[in-house]
Amino acid sequence: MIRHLFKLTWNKKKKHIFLIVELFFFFLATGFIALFLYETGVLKQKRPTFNIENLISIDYRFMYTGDTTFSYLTEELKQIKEINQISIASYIPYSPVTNPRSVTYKKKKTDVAAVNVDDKYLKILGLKLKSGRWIEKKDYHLSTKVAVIDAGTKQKLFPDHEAIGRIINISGIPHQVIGVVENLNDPSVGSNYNQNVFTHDPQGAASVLLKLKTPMNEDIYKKVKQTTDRFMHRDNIMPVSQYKEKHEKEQFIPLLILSLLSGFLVINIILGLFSILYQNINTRRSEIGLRRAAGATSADIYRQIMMEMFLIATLALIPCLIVGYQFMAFNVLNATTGGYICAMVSGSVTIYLLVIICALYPARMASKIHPAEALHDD
Amino acid sequence: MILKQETELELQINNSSMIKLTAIEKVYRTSSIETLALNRVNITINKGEFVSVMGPSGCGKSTLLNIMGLLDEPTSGQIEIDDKIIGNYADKAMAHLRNEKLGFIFQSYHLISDLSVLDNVEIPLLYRKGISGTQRRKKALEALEKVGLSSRTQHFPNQLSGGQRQRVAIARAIIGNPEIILADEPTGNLDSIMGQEIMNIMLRLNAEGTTIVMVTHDEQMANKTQRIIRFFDGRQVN
Amino acid sequence: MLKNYIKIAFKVMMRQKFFTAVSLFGISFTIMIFSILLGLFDFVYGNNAPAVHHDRMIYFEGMSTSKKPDYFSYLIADSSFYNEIRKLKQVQNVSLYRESTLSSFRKDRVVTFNTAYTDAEHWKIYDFTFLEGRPYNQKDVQEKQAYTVISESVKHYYFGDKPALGQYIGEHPKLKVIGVVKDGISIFKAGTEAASIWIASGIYVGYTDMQATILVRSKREIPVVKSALEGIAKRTAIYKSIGGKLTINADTIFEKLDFDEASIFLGGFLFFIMAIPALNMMGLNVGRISERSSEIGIRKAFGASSSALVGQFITENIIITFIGGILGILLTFAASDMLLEVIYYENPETAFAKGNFMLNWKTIGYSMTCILFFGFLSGIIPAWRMSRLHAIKALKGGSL
Repeated sequence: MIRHLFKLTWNKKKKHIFLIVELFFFFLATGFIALFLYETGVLKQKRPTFNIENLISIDYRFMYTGDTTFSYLTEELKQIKEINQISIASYIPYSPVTNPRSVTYKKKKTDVAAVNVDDKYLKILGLKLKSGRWIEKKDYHLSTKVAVIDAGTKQKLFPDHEAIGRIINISGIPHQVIGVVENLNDPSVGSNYNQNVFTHDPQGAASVLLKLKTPMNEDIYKKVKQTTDRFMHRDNIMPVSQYKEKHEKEQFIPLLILSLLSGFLVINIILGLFSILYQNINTRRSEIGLRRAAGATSADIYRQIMMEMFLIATLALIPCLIVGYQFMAFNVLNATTGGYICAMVSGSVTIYLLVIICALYPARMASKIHPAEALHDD
Repeated sequence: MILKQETELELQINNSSMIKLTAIEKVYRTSSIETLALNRVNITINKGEFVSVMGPSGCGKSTLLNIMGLLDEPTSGQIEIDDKIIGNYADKAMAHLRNEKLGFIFQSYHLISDLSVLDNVEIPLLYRKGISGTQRRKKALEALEKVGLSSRTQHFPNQLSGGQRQRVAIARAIIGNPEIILADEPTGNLDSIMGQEIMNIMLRLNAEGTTIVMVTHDEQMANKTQRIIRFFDGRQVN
Repeated sequence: MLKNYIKIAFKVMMRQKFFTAVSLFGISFTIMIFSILLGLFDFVYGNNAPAVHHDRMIYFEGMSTSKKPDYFSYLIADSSFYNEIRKLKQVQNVSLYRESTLSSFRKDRVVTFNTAYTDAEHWKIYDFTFLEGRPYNQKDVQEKQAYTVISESVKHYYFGDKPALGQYIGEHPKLKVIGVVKDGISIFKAGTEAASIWIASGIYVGYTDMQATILVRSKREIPVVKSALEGIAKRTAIYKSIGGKLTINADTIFEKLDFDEASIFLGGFLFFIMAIPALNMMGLNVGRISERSSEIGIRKAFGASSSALVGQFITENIIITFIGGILGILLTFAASDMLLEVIYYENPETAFAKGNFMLNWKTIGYSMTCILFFGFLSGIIPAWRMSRLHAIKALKGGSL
């Protein structure tokens, strides 16, 4: 029966050419969306381990942590009673990451984003230490610098044993590991930069992080602004939650657009499929009547239509997979192999689902055609 | 003439019925109209008979054939096929019976234009269990040989003449060795020469033992059969 | 004759309700997407207020020089540099500006507006519609007045419905509002178009380096001006002392926003989106004709000529495309709000007074052209096939 239906479908390929071309475009669109989702790791995100509640940042580009301005600024800010904690550090969650560095331990090497911190950073972000301790003021002036590494870095450099006490090289400079902290899991950081090491670097870039006792309001904003304006006119006092919002919007919008477009595609194809199938059944009434006369049950007819649709989808997938494979082989879109495979599988599965779901009702209609009427209709 | 006598003799000896319709009624109901297509019809078709059914348009001949062919369920009455009473009109049972015992020939051939001649002929055996693809192929070739078309197995219906198409349809009808063939105006779309050819094939089949019921307009063709049933307004007349 | 075609067209549409619905859906969405894309394209590149001379503008954003192996230095563009540029006869006007920001905290959010310190020439190059007050002029700049002109959205943020003239925004220093302008739509925000607060540059204290918007007298002379810029840059004292390879960052809007690869890719992707409803339409049209093949056969048998049938079919097609197109245009207007949210996601407050930016004659005009094009295209092939249909074959139930 399958061979018979295959011959029937193959002989009709010209009539189905529109549908096949539509499905081809749909495959490409779905594949592209799947690839995008895969590559941007949208689906793989873990929960952040830091707490940004009531966290405010003040960005001081072109200033370095060792600048005495910061100690004066900190003293002044402490006067504001609504401020709970103050930290001077280089990395604000949900902000662009800089400072890529290579870290080595003996023969092992890994790439990290280095973060310049002070002794308050751990508490202000609510990070959790897995072992050892955080950087303290006494460490600032040691001859051998100290560093805290995150769990991911530890896994790469010390998979089998303890890291505390070991000496690692950060861009060639030796640091002693004094603590291991949980991965930050910042959703706005790409997979290339999601490992961190924390050191105190007086020559490093700096931002001010403030933990407030309550959410920011106009009063607090005014006080902070007045204080900072005394040292340097800065226009970027920003609740970190707004950076988070911005990141989420930036992620959301392309997804929204893609979803709308693919929704549009799906609806169009469903309608197209439906109408083609509807026509199809109508013009094949005599064939259906004939088959029934020859001994087909209505279940046979139902199965036949479903099978034919499945075969058409398979037929349509041949050029799709060929083209998909070409994309992968020549890496046209600059993505990983896993991404391409995910894209092709998604495209194929959605096409099958789509075609089969659309065929259900017409197949039922076909199976209900009364043979006597169908044969004597003309 | 000789043919007629022989079969008459056989009838007298066997006298077993192939199709027996008893008090068959068929009513078509729409929301506003009720049409009585068949009005208490009693017909017996004996084994090996070649019967013509004649009558004006709309008199119910096609409905009669539908009922006989188990393509439609009577509103009331009883059908017996090969001495078995049809008690269950369920789709599966009917389909099975049609597949085993019946072959159909239509005025407009009803061939599938996207399939080759061979693939068209195969169709009835697709719905019969226990036959392999090779066996199907073999039987299809045999059937086509019987109707004289073995040289055109890979052609498509639109490449054949009307007479050839009907021959393909006949081959399809006989591939499963049915005991009964129901033909609805088989020569209606053909000229006299092609019609004659088709008629000859059908006579040959009948001579080999197949029971044939043929609806026709053609008096000449009808006279070649053993019996003519005349139908008018849903009933047998005369 | 045409009236007959139209009457028949409507009857047919009612008869084949399913096809009609499917077609209308596909057409309306396709037209919507086309319109939005064309509209956006026009906003990015076209000559729309306030940038009414978009095609004659060069955005000068800086210059630098580099020497092998790794020496790099920015070159300062100060007022003497620009005075040289003003002297060029192909240059109609030059406006100097510096970008900045202004943040405020209101209702638990920090809102940051982009600002620009500009000279008075700014108001001659751009054509703003003033809802209140006036622009600052050369005298205001020379007198170092702390004047500002704000957009309607900014006014609404700070002052709600109350009049803004004479009020103040900002702290260091306080800026006096002397004018309120209608919002403009700028999607890629070149030069001062990103700003919604303009400040008289007399009060600017800071770098001597400035950026500029150069208005050239005619489009043809843009390349001349660009090479002249190079010449002027090379004659500056600082370049003369360093030498090296000069890079000038001065482009027109077309050159600035040329995405190359990404746009080809995006264009390809969007083509697929268009192709699908177009294919649907063509397939459906073939289907529509097939269903009516016996009707066509009869008409032909009774003397209808091929051209009459084609004419009728194309009329039907254009009518259905037209109705779908109107729906598409309505959808575009409905979508324009959402579009604004997407474009201005960073600073939704600046989008407040943009209104329905898709609602203008240009967009409608583009849509209409799309509609006719689409209707003609999706109908022409099936119509041609239909005209070749043999009458008898059609009557006997033959297919296309």
